[in-house]
Amino acid sequence: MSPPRAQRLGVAACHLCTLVSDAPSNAHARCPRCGARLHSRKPASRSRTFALLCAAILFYLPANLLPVMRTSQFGHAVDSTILSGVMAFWQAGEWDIALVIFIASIVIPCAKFLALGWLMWTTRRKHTLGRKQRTLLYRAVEFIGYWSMLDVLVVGLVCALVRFDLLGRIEPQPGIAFFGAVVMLTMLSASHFDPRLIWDDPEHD
Amino acid sequence: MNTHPHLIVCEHCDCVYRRPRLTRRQRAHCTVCGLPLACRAPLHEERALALNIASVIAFLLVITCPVIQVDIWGRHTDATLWQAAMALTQGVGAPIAVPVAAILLVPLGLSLLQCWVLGFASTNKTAPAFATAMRLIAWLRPWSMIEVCLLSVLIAMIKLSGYLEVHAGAGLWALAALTLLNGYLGTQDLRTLWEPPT
Repeated sequence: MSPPRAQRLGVAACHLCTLVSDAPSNAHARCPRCGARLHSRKPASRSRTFALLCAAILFYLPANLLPVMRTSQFGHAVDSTILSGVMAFWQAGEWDIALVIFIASIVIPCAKFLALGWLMWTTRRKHTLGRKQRTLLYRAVEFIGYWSMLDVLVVGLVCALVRFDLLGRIEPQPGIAFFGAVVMLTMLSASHFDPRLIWDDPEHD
Repeated sequence: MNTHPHLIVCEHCDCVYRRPRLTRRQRAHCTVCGLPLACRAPLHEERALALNIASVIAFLLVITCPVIQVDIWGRHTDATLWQAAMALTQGVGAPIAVPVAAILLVPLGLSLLQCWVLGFASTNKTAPAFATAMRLIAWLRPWSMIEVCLLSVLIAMIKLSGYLEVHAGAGLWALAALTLLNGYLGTQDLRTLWEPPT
């Protein structure tokens, strides 16, 4: 016997202070204890998640195609993209560092696109299979989301350190701005998704 | 509007339970989705306050002391995390420096806000603007990226060590300390401060 669901009981919990109150009758209802907006589902969850996800996927192309860093030495400049940075480590024999950067900058963003896309698709279709696993997947997306910021900070640090003017210089390139935007957009997209939609069942509610 | 303080709702699957009374080492999980419920034993306010003050100090060291120092042909440079954010302002991609700088400052904002609410809570008072502070804390928390900063400093060091002589700066040790403090503080759920004292 599973416990009753808040929506059926006509109650809703405050997302800020967790106090349970009667379900709000309009969009302007506020939690009586902390004054935060009270809603039984995140407002416009599906469309906001989808919009932010689309924006992230669009930005992902220039993030990978444009160079992220320019290394100039004795007047000779070389541009590198995210993938070529990974390849450079790999070819230098440092496969472990290559793997960390590859996972943080390529695997995690792509996995987030796929996971959020799949969660959106299955909740839209009201799939009932694997709800527990999908809820866990959502938690994982929230949890790993910010690790992709790694590359942005590495580029910033390297550029701040290597400024020897004539001898050598490393400068950031536009690709890194797109990449940072991708990470922040996917984080926002995940935060707008409401995992309770996974469990909503039109036939029983 | 009626409230039901004896109930708790799972944030992930919307299941309703009677709010359990927990001791410090206990956690309650939802029986349907298996994820933790948002109820905890009351906080150890003094301890959390002390650790938050420690993380403010560690943060000030992180942002003011260089995290990496490099030497090449007798020339020496160093960089703090703040300078790393500022380095991104060069060129066309400059707008990204603004959110990166903001993200670097998030842990400081979080710790100061937590010191504020916990400082009053440890003397059994409610802090002025308590609700606003709690809202800001909930809003800022996902953007605190101390662990990522630490890993990126290490990767930048390895990346440069092939060409230059690289040393760890004092800021790196402060960053490691801050990561540990943040890891512990992340497990403390300040939302229990909303519950009336029993």
